[in-house]
Amino acid sequence: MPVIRVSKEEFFRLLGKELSEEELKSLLEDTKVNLEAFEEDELEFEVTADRMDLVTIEGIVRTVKGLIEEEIGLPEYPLDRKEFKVRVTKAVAEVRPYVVAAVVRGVDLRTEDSLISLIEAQEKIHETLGRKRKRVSIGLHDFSKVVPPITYDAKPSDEVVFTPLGEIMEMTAREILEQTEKGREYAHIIRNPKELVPLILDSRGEVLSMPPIINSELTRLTPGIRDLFIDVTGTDLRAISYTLEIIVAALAERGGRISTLEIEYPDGTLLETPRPEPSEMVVEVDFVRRMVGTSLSIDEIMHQLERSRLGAQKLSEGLIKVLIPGFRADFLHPVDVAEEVAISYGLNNLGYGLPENVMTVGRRHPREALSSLFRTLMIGLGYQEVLNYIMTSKEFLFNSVGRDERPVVEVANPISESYSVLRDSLLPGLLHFLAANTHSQYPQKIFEIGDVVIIDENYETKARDERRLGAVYADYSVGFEDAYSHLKALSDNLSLDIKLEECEERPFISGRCAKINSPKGELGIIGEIDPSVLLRLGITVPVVAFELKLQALE
Amino acid sequence: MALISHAYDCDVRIKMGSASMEISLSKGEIELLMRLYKKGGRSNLEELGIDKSKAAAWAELLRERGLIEVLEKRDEFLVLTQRGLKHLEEGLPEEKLIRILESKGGKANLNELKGSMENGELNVAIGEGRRKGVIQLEKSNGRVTLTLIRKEVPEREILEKIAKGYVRPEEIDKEAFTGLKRRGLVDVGEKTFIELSLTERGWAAARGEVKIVEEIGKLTRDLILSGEWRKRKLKVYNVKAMPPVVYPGKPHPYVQFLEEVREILIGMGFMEVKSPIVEAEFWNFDILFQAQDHPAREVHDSYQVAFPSTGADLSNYIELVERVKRTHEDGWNTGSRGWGYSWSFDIARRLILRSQTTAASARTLAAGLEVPSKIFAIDKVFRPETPDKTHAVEFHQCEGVVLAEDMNVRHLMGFLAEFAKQLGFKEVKFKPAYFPFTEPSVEAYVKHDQLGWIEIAGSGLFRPEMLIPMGYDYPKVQALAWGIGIGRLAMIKLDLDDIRELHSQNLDYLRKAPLRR
Repeated sequence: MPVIRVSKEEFFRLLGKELSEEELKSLLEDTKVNLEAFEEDELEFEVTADRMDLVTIEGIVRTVKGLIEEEIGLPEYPLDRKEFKVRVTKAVAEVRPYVVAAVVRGVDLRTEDSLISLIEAQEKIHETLGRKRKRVSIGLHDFSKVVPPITYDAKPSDEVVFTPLGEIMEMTAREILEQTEKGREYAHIIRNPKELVPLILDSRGEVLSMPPIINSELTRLTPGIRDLFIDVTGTDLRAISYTLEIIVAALAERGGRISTLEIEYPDGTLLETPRPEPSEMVVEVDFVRRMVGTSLSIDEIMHQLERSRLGAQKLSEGLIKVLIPGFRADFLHPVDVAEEVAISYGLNNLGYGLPENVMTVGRRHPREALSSLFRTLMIGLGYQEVLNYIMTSKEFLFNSVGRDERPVVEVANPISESYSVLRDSLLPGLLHFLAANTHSQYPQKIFEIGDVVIIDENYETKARDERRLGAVYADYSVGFEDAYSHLKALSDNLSLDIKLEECEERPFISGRCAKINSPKGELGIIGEIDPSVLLRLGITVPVVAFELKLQALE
Repeated sequence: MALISHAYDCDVRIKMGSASMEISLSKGEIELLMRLYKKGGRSNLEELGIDKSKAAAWAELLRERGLIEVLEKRDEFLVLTQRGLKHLEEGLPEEKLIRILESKGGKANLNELKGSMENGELNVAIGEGRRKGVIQLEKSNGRVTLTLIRKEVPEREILEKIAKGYVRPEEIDKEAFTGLKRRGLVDVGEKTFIELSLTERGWAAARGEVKIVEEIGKLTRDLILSGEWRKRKLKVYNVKAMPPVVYPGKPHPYVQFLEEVREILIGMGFMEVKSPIVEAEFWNFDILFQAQDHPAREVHDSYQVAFPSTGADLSNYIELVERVKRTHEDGWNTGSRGWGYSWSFDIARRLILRSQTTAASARTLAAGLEVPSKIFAIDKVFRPETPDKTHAVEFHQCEGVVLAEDMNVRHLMGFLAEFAKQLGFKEVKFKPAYFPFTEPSVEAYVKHDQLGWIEIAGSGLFRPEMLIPMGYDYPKVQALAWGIGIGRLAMIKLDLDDIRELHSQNLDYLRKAPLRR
């Protein structure tokens, strides 16, 4: 979940009043923003991933104002419409297809903290919603340096020259991509065969930014700036529109006046951004009551929605029209309105209880029931239960324990080689366990009941789980018949009809290994482990083992 | 060990007070005393030729009677490392080289040797071989020729000696020891010896100056049948002495905890369900209305399967897949706006490792459950996290679903509170949360005496975009669902501070860990 730190002074200045740590904490207790730290100079908040509007200090202030009922209902910001056009060329469509933009004037960014918080919010959005700028990137510009209208274009990287933010000299786009820190970090996002770079250009042809890499030094933000031009580009029109709404609403909270712009796509589509009107959702009052589980009055429901900074209009005694501002992207279905009411009312104020008449019968899964029987018997035979990981490496499964390699499930993105495949047998883990405990008192009798995964083309997901029991018995003197007598005790006590049949399989000693057969098919293997394998593992006492497929017996 | 650490009130039973002319001992005690006498009155416990655990018990009894002294001594000895054992078995690299050179008539040039051994091993073999004068190297015309001089290496004998028994470092050649240590073949271990020696009184008893009366120690069938037990004295045991340690077979503490959780849920009327470890993204994400570009689906949050490389076969679910696709794209007839993107079948059929047990709930719900039903799953999930104290490569989740008519968020919290109560937590509170497939979404916290409020569950009511495509009559029918990182809870209950200890590789810990009560 995103965490944001803000200046405490700036926060309470925007809120217009001071709150103590306890007051602020208890106000936010039941919301999707958590107060994580209340320090000398800074506050730290954690917000849920569906509320990216709250990664701005202004967004949190707006929420708190609603909770203390300082300001409720849909926030209304002064707005001018369609001030100028942003033309999108065909060339940029294959490089980074979407752009939205806005102008906000008269913003109060007089303190250094306010600029810092704006840039931190921008970075937070880049990291999360923006998927490290790939999906969304934001450009913030000093509008006084811009001559509209704007063009969103793409040009070959050698033909573009401008001074990137933080540099003194002009550079070509290629140089920026290859030589600057940001260039190297983000160039992969826009890599394309024609080596085109996306550009936000003003009417003079000045480069304002080369998204998602860097802005131009020309439009650098400085403390005291009043008028801003904002561009948001990316690969997902919904995500960039939502981002623009968040940024614009934050600036409007600082007294800014919004101008919408008209984005003209090459196919002639015209898009006004940010959206001049809130979106609407009609919800049934009974549906809200049903989800929340209390019979709140329609007025109470509407009041709670307004405390959540949504608009609410009564259409009838049973219907509410909810007005949702553009910076809230978490309304897909009326159930999302119901949640908003529950949160605003306070989950812990709703009370809770178990439903009546939900009579059902509880039952263990047959695989667990069977596992449990085997576990009881193994414990009775004096074995200690252990647990090993299902994820492991080929070396661990095969070479290190002298098994012949066979196909196993492999993952494409392992964190390390040690955890890169799924085990197909319990035996390797048990032998390694013995190897890790050679200092411990013998006899060592250990067992594991767990899942292995077997490649199986006939199965829906091309691999199936198999529940198994594995047991190893290590002592100064131990032999095949010791393992067999234990296996026999299991089969007699669970009425299994098993027969052994000699076989050859590594790492068992040739002539001291057998398949365990039953009328239900082959159930597993039993034998003495080859001493050369034991020595390689550092085990200096004989070891006998068996492994049983339990699932076959379900 | 009880043998030396306990200071008992000595239970000396010497007949005839002053002169101490008679003493009662068991057969075993007499045997130990006499063996010690034959060894010159001083010996290591282990060298007496008596089973160690019996000898220790008898020695303790003799000590109590003032017949022997018991001293714990530490001694260093050599042990073979894992690599040392491997070389003992397979031969040292220089020995392998000797064999190869022998097979080539005692001479070979370096180039033809390459490939006959692993590169690293060959380098070691040549280096060690030269140092010991086993081989000679000659260089001419850029070609290096190796000639075999000696066929034996002294290390062989030393390794075998160490493998056989206790060898003190000073017992072997210092240079050879340094070499073996440097190569990581041997290590110095420490061993505790128990040394026994006769006291003055012990000498007297052994020499027959004090009369020894044999007591009966352990009763046997023969003693009982023959009536001998009536004629002789039954030894009085020191009931305060520690018995030998035995380890019972028992369940793993974490398994025991998971079984308890199972019992609780079964008691609350929940039926256990399962799903495969190798799973289709469709069941792990798409059917849960988790958009295909959701960050949880990216490579750093779920394991993609490289082999088998074919995708899942979803041909049994064609209609369901179509409904899910439409729901993602425009909401279909769920009343939702959908996510508004073009849904890809190829992404849905990709194989991953199950990253949430919600996949088990989804499969069970989609197969058609009666209303009402309650289901749960306790199984492993997999996420590509670097293992540390709080992250494991795989961990257990516990998932529960209540499918019934007219459920609401208050019932959800009611179930969570009841479950928490059954787990032994008295206070519970709730916070709003966000999960892609539930709305409203709720996090449950419980009060722990030492740790304060801890989060135990993420939960919510399954979204209409999930339930309606599966054929449930939303909003009349609702599904309450929660997921618990049960491993974290187990850590608290088992008092562990490292999640990896849930899969402990330490046998002593498992043997000594008491059962949970």
